Amino acid sequence: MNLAAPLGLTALALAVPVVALYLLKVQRRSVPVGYLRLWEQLLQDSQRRSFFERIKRWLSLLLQLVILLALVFALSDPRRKARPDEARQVVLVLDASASMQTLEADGRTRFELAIEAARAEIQGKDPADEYALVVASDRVEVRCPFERGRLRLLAALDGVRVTGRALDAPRALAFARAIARDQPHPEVLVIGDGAAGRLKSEDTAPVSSRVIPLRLKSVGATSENVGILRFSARKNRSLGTDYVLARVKNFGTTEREVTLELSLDGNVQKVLPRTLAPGAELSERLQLALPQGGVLRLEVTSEQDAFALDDVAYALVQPARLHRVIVVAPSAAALEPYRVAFAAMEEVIDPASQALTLSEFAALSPEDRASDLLVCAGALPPDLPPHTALLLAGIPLPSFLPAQELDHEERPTVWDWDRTHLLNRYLNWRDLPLPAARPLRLSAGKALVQSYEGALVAAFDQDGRQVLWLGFDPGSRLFPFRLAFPLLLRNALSWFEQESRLLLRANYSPGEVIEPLGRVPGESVEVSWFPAGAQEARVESLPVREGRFRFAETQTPGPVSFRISRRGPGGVLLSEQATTAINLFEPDESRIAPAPLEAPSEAKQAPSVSEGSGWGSLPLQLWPLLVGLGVLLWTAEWITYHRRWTE
Amino acid sequence: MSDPLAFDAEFLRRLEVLNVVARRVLQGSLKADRRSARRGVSAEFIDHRPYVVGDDLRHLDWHLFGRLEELFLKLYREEENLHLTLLVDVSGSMAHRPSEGPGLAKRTYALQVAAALAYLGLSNMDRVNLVPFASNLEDARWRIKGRAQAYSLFSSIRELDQLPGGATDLRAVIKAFVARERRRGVVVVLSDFFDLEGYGPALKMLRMRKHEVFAIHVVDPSEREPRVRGDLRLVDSETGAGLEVNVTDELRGRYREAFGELLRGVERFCVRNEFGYVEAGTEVPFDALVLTILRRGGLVA
Repeated sequence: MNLAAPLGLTALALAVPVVALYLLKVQRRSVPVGYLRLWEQLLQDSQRRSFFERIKRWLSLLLQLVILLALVFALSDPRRKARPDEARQVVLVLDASASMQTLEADGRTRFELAIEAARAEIQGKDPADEYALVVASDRVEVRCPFERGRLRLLAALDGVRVTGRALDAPRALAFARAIARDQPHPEVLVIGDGAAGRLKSEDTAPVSSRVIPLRLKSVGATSENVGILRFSARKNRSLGTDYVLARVKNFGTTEREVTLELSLDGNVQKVLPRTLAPGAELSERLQLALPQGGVLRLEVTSEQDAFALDDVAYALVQPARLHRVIVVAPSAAALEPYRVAFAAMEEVIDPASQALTLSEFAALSPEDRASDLLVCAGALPPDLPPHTALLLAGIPLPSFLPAQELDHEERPTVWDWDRTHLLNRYLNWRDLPLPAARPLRLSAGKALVQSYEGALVAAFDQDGRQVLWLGFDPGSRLFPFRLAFPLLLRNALSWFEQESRLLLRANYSPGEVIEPLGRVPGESVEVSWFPAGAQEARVESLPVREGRFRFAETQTPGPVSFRISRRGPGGVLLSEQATTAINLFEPDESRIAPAPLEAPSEAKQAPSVSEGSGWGSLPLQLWPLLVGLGVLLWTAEWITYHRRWTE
Repeated sequence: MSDPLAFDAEFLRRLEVLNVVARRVLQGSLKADRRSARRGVSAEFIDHRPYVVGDDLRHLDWHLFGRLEELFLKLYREEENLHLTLLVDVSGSMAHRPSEGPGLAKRTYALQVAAALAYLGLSNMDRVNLVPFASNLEDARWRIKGRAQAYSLFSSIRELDQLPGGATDLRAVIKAFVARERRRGVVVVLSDFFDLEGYGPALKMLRMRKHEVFAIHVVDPSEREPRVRGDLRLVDSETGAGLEVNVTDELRGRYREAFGELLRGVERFCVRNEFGYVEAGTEVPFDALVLTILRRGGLVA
């Protein structure tokens, strides 16, 4: 037999007050009588000297002490040793999501409470039981496979850290069930707050005909939190207006006075006091002059806020970059629509951009031909600069593209297009009267707009060069398309930039590993970030392997900037700064009110105990027996006490 | 709860009612039922009643016989100079008050009854001795006469309820009493008679001195039917001696039998020696008790 909660034995100290109270209790009450001699005569041969009378009070005390012993023993959760065929295989799923960082009333985080509960569970397990330790957030990590040894399990538990990510409870449970399914006596134990990724009945329902018992231990009680749901900055060069957008929500149950402090590069810009009713959401849109590359910080302060991770958010003002675009057309007249488009896109088009005829382009030096995008409208120059993205419009299919040109369509009809693709943003192709087009049957690449015959617009990644194919000439006579072309060109530039230059997302969750979205040239990347509690930025060099790097110091919200090499026009390597921010924008995690983890009735059942005889027929957990014994003895003691009871 | 010995207007009203009732009761029977050993002076005519065998022929109304040819006895208000002594036990056992309920202490109750009897006696111009006692005679009031003394007597009775008490020694008390009071009379002893060895010789001593003895056995209901149970330390009200005992239902049953036997023993003794006897439970109102005593006879006011 072993004790799951040996600390419970400290309650044996209660024996001292029990004895003291008993001795006080047995102090006889004095009752005056008129004629004592009558009582004395009656007691000449009565029970006063009987054996039972002498031992009765000590018997009662003994019963009380035995009751105390039984209850204290039950408190320490004694478990008999399981036979090898009875040993359980428990998958212990530990919630390490962001909400577990909530501070409880005793000053400890929920994660610390969960670790404590897990430690008690491991220490109290039967030696034959096997436990697997699984840490769950939005991903599932096995920290220790099925293991009998307590020390190894506890060591694995020591290495577990709370994350800033959301909890994907169904995924964690499905994983736990999957690894427990083939075990002889499987069981899943979830320790968490249930505040995020709430378990629904379908999550806890058995996925197969075999019922795997599910135990749920909930930690935490606090529910008061005001958190930032969104924070972003938008710089609009063309309109000259910059905006900051913030959304804040009161997830608590009481009305809160909050202060929103907005600072730019460490200088406070605005302080906004607000009142938020329970469950209310506040959306603030502020106009602010934003410098390029600036770091905006929003901090929400309110009293009794138990969850700090969502109280601070960062937004970065991305430095604007102008793209050099060269348009090549067979004649000057064909270039006219592109010049109009350039005029409408001055916030993204470099003034050095050019619209050239074929002969003018041929006269340029190789350095002057370097650009971010070469638009070939109706004509394809013979010497294309290397690594430059191409937009081919209204030209015969070049040989380097993996596709087959189909019959010419005089009036192509669009029947579908990829609405999620960046190129098609804001465009309704069905309403655009297209000029005559050459559809393609693709061998590789991706069709972005399709007619009944084939692809009218297609994207290719050809030997490291991005190519966008338009099966028609956008500079044709059709006036509506002339209006739409700047939009198409802007989308194309964004897409090229995302594909070639956008290496980081705008926002990452705390604890999430930052990896580049595309390949990074060079040997290393310099990263600059603010570690937790630090006032100054820390700069380190990250190695780049096979075009990738990993940055994992993302536990706390804050800006992170990388100095990354970039291949510029002409293939030259340029050093460029890429920035992102770490923010917790997870409403499910900010809603820290613990939710009762409801398990289906069949899953709540204790693991079945195999039939046996003698000691083996007892349940593994002995505390119910001890409590029953205590109640039985208490009844006996009550009867004894009742006999002593004075009126 | 108001002071039971306050002798307020309500108490006095009940005494007056008692006095009127007592007169009616006594007028009808007591005069002839009880022959006084001492000849009193004849007084005013009150009433007639039919003659019964044994009546004094001197009081026959021959005029009425001449008219009706039936014998009637003439009744007079007797002005007998009766000595009424009220021996009230004020010992510790009498001061014992039940632990539960609104009941009176036996001593308080006995003093109420004594006050009522004294008032009746004084209303009939008897001489009244109020003699409290425990182990010896306490502050007695001797030979009080006249209704006007009643209030002074009540005041004394109130003070008696404050006495500390003590053990009962009835034999020594009676011995002292008979040495002090040599005139014969009616002696009413109000006590719980917990002096089991002493009450017999003491009462016999009174009879030897030609006193008419009337015993009022004051009993508390909690003594007759104890409700205590469990591990207790019983403390004697008189001596302070203690006894640790586990009072069980069985022991309580045996106590009830023993206490009943004690009561019956006192009663048997009184009957055998022709003493008046009445058991007075403190739960019975004092005026009802006095009326019962008067109706039963044997005690003449």
